[in-house]
Amino acid sequence: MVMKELRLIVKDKVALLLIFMLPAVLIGMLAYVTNESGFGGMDVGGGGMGGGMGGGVNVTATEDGNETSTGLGLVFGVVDLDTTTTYEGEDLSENLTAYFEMIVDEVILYNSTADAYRALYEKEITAYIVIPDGFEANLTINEPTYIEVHYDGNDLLGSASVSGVVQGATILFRVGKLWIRSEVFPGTVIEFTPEGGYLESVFGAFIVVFSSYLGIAMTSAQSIVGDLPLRRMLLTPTNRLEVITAKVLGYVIIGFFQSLLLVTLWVLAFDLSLNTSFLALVIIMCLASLTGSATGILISSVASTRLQANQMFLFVLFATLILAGFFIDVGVLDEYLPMNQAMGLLIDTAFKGLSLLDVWERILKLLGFSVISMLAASYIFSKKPTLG
Amino acid sequence: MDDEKPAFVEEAYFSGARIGDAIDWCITRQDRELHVEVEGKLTSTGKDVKFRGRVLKVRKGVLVRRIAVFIEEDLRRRRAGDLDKVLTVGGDNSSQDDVASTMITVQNYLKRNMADDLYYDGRDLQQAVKDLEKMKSQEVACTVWGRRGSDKLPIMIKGVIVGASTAPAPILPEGTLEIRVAPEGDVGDPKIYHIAQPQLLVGPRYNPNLTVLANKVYIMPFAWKMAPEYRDVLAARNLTVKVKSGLKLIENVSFSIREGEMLAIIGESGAGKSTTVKALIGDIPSTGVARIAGIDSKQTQKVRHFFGYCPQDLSYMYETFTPLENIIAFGKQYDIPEWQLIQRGKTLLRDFGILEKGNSPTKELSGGQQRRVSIGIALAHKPKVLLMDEPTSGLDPDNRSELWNYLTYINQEYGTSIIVITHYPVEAEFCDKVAVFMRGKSLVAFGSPARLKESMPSRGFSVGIVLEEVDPRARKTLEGVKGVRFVLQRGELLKVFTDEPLEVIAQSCVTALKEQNIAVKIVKTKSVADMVDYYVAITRGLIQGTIEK
Repeated sequence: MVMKELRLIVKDKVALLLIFMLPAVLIGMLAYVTNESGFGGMDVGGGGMGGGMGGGVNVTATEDGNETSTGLGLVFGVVDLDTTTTYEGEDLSENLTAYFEMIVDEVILYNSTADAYRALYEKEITAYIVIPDGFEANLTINEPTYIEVHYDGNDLLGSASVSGVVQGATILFRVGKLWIRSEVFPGTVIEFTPEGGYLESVFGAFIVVFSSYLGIAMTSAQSIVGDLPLRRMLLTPTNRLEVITAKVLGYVIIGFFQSLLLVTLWVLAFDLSLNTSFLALVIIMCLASLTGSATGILISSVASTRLQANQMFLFVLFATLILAGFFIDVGVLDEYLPMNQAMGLLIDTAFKGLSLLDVWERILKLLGFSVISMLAASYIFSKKPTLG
Repeated sequence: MDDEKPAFVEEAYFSGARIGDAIDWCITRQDRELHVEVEGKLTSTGKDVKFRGRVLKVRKGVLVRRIAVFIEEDLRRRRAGDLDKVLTVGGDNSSQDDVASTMITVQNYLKRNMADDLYYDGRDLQQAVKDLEKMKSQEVACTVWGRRGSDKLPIMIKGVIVGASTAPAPILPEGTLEIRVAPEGDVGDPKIYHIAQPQLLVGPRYNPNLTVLANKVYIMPFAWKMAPEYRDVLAARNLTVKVKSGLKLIENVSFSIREGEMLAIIGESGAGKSTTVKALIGDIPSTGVARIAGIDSKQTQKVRHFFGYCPQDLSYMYETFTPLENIIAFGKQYDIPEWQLIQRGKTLLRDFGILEKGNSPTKELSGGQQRRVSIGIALAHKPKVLLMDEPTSGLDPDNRSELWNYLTYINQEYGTSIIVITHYPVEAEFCDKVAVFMRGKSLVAFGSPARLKESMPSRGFSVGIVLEEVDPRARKTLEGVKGVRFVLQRGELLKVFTDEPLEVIAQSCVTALKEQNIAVKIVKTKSVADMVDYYVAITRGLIQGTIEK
C-alpha cells in the first residue's frame, strides 16, 4: 500500500518536480529578501551554549526609542559586576537597576553571567543586562560606558520589547543625572542563534518547519478526497486504518526527501553552523512531515470534496500562522500546537544545542498528535460509505 | 461448492494400459480444468474402485506415469471405508500408485483451471518448499499421506504449514515441511509434525514419532479464504435497505443465481438496482440475508475475496499507472504475491487483447481498452462473482457488442458468475437470469429471459404489424380490437398481445386498420417478444411480474 502511494506520487512528474522545487524556491526567496533587507547577513550569533561571552558582535541601539510600557510580562535579569564607588551619592549601577525595575514587571539580580544565561535559556527571564566593572568610575570621570543586553534571538516578541525597555531605562537614568556628560551605550548580544546570519537562521528555521509541516499537510489534504480509485480499493479486504497509515507514511517518505533538500540548502546557502547534527535535523523535519501528513490526512478524511479540503487546509494554514507563536504570543497553546512544537524542537536542538533525548517531551507531543490524528481520520473515514 | 458437470465437455476414453496417452491428452490441455473418471483397483487392498475427480497433476517419465486426482465423488457401489481425498492413478500394472486403473475417462470442462491448490509427490518435497517460499500466504493448509518415521505405518495428517526448508542430504537436497496439527476436538495439544522426503537415508533427525515420510502432499495456499459449501453463488433473501428517514430503498428482494450464471439487473433510475448491489456486497447496512459464495455479506472483510467490482466510472483506477501496475496495486490488497499477480495480470491482458498496452499508462488507452483493464482489475483475485455497474452506459452499439463478447468470454473461460446492472433491457438477452426493478416496488420480476417472456400473453408471441408509415391512430385502433390485451409500438412496428388465437386477432387487426385507411406493409402472426417488450409491458403495468424461485 505504501509502495502504491509512492508510485502514485512518483508517476506524477509535475507534482514531484514541485515537491522538490518548493524548498529550492523558498530558500532562494529567503536569500533574495535577506540581501534586500538591512538585517540580512547580520552576524549576531551567540554560538549556542557558549554564546554571549564575547562570541558575537555587539550592536549599538539607537537613542530615539519610544517609552516602553509596562505590563508586557517582561522579566529582566541584571548582573551587576560594577565594584567601583567613585561617586559620593548612591551606587550608580544600583540606580540604573532601579530604573529597570520601574519599567519592567520584575528584575532578578544574578551574581554571575552564567546564572543569568541559564535563566535566559530556561526562559525565566526575557533578557539580562550586564553592568560591567568600572561603570560608575567611567561615568564620574565623564568617560563613555556601556552595558550588555543579552536576549533570546528566537523570542521575536520579547526581543522587540527589550530594546525599548533598555533605551527607556538608560534615558531615565541619564535624565536623572544631568551632571553626567558622557553616554551609556547599550550593546546587544543575541543569544541562542547559530553562527551565521540572524535573519537567515531564524526566519530560515521558521520557513523550514513551516514548509515541512504545512507543505506536506497541503499535499496530503487532497490524498483521500482526491483519490477516486481508493473508493474501489476499499471494496478489497484492505482496512481503512491501513489506508490511512500507508498514506501518512507515503507522504512522510516524500517529506523526508523534501526536508533533506530543504535543510541542506538552508545550511549550505547561508553557511550556517548549527549546534546539532544533520541527522538530528532530518529526524526533526521528518517528525514535522509526519505531523503535517497526519493533519492533511485528517482534513482529507473529513472533507467530502476537493473544494472542502482546500478550504479546510486554508483554515489550518492561517490558524497555524497566527498561532505559530512566532509573531504573537499564544500563551499555553504554544505548548500543544504541533507546528509550535516542531519549531521549538528545531530551536532547542539546532540553536540551543540540546540533544534529541533532551527534548523527548516535544517529540512525544508530535508523535501523539500524529497518532491521534491518524486514528481520528480512520474513524471518520470508516463512517463514510465506500461507493458514495 | 464443487462444480457440476457442464452441459458441454470434451471427453476421451483410455484403457489403463494407455495411461500414457491419457497423460499426453492432459498435457496438451494443461491450462484447462480437467476432470477424470477412473475405474480400477486399489493397490493397497486389491478392491475395485470407481471415482470422479479433478486432475491435480500429471507426470510422465521413463518409469513413472501418474495422474493425481482430487476426489469429488466416490462412485463405488459397495463402499468399504472412505477414499483418500487425493489419489494417484497409475497404469493397469502399477503397484506404486494408489490405484491401478483399468479405464480412464478424461473430461475437459472447456474453461480455465482457476484452482489454486497444489499437489506434490513425496519425492518432490523440495519443489514444494521452493513454491511455498514464493507463495507468502497467511495460512497454508496442507494434507500429507505417508508413513510414520518410527514404525513406518501409514499416516495421514492435516494441518497448517509453519515451516519449510531445504537441507543438504547424502544424494540431493531434501525439502522438509513443518506442519502444525490441531487436536481433534478439544482433547490434547497441537503437535508439529516434521514432513520429510521418502529417500531419507540417514534416518529421521527429528522425533521419529512426529516424522512423516511423505508419499503425497496436497497444499492449499489460500485455505484461510476458502468458501464454505454453497448451492447458490449469490443469494438474497428478503433483502431490505432502509434510510434513516424510514424510507425503504429496496424491500424484500429475494433472488439467487448458480455458479457460472450471468444475471442482468434492469430497471429505471432510482429503482434500487445499485442499492441492491451495494447491499449484496455489504457496503451499506441492510436487513435480510445476502450471501456471496455462501458467505454472509455482513462479514465484509471475508466476502470481499469472493467478488470483483467493476464501477461504471473509468476514473476508479489509477490513470497514471500502467494496466499491469493497476492490477498489482489492487490485487495486492488480497494478499496475493506480486509474482502471481504479474502472471495473472499478463494472462488477463492477453485474454482481453491488450497485452501490448500492458506497459502504457492507462490514460493513453481507448475507452474500450480502459474498460477491459477495469474488468481485469476486478478479476485479478479470481472472484466467484463479477459485479458490473452499468458497463455499457455511454458506449456506442459497436463497443457495447464488443464488451458483451468479452463478458461472455469471461463467463465461459473463467467460469465467473457475472452480475450486470444495465439500462438496456435488450442486453438482458445475453444473460441467464434477469432481475427487473421498479421504483417504489423493488424487485418485480426475476427469472431466465425465456421464462419471463413466456409469462406474457400467448407465451410471448404476438401479432406483429409493420405499417407503411408511422400513424398515431394505429395504436388506439388496435387497442380497440376485441380480444387485444395491449399493443406495444416501436416506430412502424406494432406488436399486438392477446390471449386469443393469433391468426384470428391478426385478421381483426388488419380489418380495423383498413377501416381507418392505415396502410399495412407486413403482418406476422407469430412475432416473438423480446426483453424490451417485456420490460415496457411490466413497467407500464400491462403484465404481472413473476419471481422465479
